[in-house]
Amino acid sequence: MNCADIKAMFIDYIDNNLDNTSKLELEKHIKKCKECSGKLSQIKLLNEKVLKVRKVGTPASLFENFMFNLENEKNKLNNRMFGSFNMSWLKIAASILIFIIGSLFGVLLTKSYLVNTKVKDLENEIGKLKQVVAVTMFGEHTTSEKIKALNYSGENRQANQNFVKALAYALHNDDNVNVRLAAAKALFRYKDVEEVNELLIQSLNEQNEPMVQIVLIKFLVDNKEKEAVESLKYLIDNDETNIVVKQYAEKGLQILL
Amino acid sequence: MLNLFAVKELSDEILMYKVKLDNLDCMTQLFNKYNNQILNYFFYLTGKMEDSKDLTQEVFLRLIKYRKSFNQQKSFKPWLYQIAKNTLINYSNSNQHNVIDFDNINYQEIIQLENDNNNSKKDNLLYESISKLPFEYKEIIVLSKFQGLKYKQIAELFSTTEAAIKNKILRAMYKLREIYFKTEKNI
Repeated sequence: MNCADIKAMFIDYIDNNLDNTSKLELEKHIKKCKECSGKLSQIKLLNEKVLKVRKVGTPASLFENFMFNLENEKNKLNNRMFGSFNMSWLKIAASILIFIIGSLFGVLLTKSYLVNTKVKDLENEIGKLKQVVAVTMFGEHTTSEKIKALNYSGENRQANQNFVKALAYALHNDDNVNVRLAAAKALFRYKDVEEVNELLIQSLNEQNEPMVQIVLIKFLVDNKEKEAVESLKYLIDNDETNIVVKQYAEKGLQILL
Repeated sequence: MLNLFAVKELSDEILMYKVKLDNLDCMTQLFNKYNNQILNYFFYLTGKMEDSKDLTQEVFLRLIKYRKSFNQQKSFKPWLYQIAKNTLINYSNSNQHNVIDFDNINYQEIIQLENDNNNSKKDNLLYESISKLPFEYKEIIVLSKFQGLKYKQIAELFSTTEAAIKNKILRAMYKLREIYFKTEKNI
């Protein structure tokens, strides 16, 4: 064995890991080779010194910090594990909340509906009362009072038989053009009632005042009242009819036909 | 008899496996067992106690962070030191403004600590010699001689053979001898 082979066994020798044969061979070489012997003893010495190197102790703060960090990590882990669980709880809570709010709205709406119907009933009552008052006021003779009465009848759409009759009477027979106009306008509000349209067409045949005729033509044409066609034709054929009224009647006829 | 069973310690691998399964409390036992070794590993490789404490803390945080990558079929110790080494590499990379020459560490803190304990001057010489060892030699001496890791474990850590590790240790010891005895002659 040469020096390089012996050198390769140094580590196992100082660790006491060599088998007997190798150990004897190495010791035999060392006795003869001063260089190897010197190196081995130095390395052996250093190895002993190095093995004796003391460890520094752990400061207490290290453990404290570790425990703090560990708690942090555990919290993070818990948050991650229960994160989805919490979410579902949140969702349940939210849905319950939405259900409660929905129910409350429902209750409130029902209540306000009840109130609304009561208010409507009351309004109808007042409307009827106003019509009665208006009919009574027709008894007055001055024009302004009659118009006032017609306007006062308000916007009540539920026609009162007597009231419509009163309006029709005013439209046909009143001496004052303005009263007749107001009566016509008041009747327009009850266009949904069949009688009203008949009354208006009948009135168109009897009227001789252009203003009232035009207003009636406009209203009947706007409401596409086909039964007014005959009356319109009569107006156009009649020589006594006002020229402007004729023009309106012709236009209306074109639209209706 | 019952106590014997109760006291029986769990192996590092089982403890780490439990940590892997999110039983983080088991990390406390691993910390108690290894914190001093890891602290000394860093202390002898950096020469700085404060940094070594931070690095040790970081290692155990990393063990938790990377617990899922632990392979319970393999031993725990090489994995622990692998993480310690990676932590050290990160530390040297992130410490750009305060570059550390790992081949020539200032062992002043270590020598001071030894002097406080009334050790002889010759031991200071040993520390000074070790501090001047190239990093890879210093590291292998710290691992095999200071930390008492088996050659097999060191081989696993460096992904090499036991023979290669023994060879490296021999070269490290030769280098140490060169520095140590040359210095002694000068004195």
